[in-house]
Amino acid sequence: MAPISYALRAEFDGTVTQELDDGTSVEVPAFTGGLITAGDRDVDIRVELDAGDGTIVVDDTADPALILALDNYPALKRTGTPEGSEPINPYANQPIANLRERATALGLELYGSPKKAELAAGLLAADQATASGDQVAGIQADGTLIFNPTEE
Amino acid sequence: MPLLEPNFYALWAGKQTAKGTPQATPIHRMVQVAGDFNMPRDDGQENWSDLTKYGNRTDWINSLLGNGEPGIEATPSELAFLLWIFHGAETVTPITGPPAAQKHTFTPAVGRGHYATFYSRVGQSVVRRQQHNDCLITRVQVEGSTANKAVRVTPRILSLDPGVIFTSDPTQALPTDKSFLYTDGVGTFTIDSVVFAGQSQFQFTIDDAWEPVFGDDIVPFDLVQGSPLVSLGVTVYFDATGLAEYNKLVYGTASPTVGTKPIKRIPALGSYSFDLVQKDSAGATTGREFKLTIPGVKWAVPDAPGPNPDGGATEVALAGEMRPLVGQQPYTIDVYTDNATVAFTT
Repeated sequence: MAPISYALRAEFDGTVTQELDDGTSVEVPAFTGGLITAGDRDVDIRVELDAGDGTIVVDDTADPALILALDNYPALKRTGTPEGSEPINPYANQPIANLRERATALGLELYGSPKKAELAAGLLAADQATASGDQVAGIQADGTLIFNPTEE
Repeated sequence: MPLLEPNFYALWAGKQTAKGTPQATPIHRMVQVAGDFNMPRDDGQENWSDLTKYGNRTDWINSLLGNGEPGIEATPSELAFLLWIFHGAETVTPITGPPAAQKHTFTPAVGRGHYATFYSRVGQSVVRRQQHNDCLITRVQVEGSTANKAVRVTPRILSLDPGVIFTSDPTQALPTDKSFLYTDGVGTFTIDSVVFAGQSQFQFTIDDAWEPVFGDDIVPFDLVQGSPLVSLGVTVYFDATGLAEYNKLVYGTASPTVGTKPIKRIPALGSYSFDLVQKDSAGATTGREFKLTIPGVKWAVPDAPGPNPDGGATEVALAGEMRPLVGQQPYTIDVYTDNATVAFTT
């Protein structure tokens, strides 16, 4: 995985002071937010920026739709990836039926009926492993992968 | 027995969390002024002979698809909501004021829009209530004119799960903000960097060209994209400014000299913009604003105005298509809403 990271452009970063109708002032973020689609799912830019301490990290192998969406998002620019940061899991907020469908489409066996969180983690790990050349056979109940034996 | 009263009607909408999950409590109610939803069933048949005069036929259903093109007054929040559903993205920033507001900016996004549920009710004592699930807005048209000053937005909506009966109306009330008016843009309608006070009509259309494809069911298997297009129609009176624009498009110069012939090449791209700034009854700005900027427009050469023995005003209709310019957004739409309408989530 080669993570790609995004942060707010300078004109959208920081805070501004709003003068309210009652005569008071309030300091608010210069970027209020935006909920966007990426493939078949929603991504809340403000929520993801706050969760990532000002940076959104995306897995370039598992999440091409989000990379395209964020590259076209006017308030964001590419930036360096902070050390130790984790990429957004593209499967995290999807219905479990969609996750099972995705596993089937990838030819992955599901062992022990993994729950939603474990299945989402397993699918991301499977995407990353496949991109590295590994052959994934399935996902276990705890989200760990089972690999096909490699040929000698 | 009373008949259904078509002058009693309402339209609500809300974003879905996902396809297949209808929005149960829509929080947007539209000021609908035209159009409706339909769910045409396309039937097919095959003829065969049973040795009688009329023969016989095998009938089947080809497709069942909901569609709608409701004409909706461009109240600020509802205009912004519909553009958000259509684009599947928005960039929201605060306006410092006073009056404080939220600016919702829309530029072309790369993917589909958000799935939404539309609830329509027609009638007072005889009531038709239908809920249209899994809706995508595939085209948006915004128009305003001297004749009909309430700016109107008309979304073209496809519903993959149309016509579901519901029994009680959503509780969301109509918006309190007024619709943008054509005259809110006085002095700002700008064609090719020239202000046209004599513009009598504009129509701006973004067509993302999504079309359904069918597999083993009568409801769509998926949607595919054709050739998206952004188009523009503007009508202006043929005064000196109108003549200069016509000359630029036909002769390549605003003031052609004797012997000038129509140009044999495509002229430089034009542009179009307006800025509707809403004001209250006292003439003070309300903070609500609606701006459109298209930096690259390829205008078609319009017909020259002809003679008319009955006289009257002479107009020229300009038709244009957006052309992207390097380093600039193909178009930018800004809608300033009340300060409480922050980035949409539902």
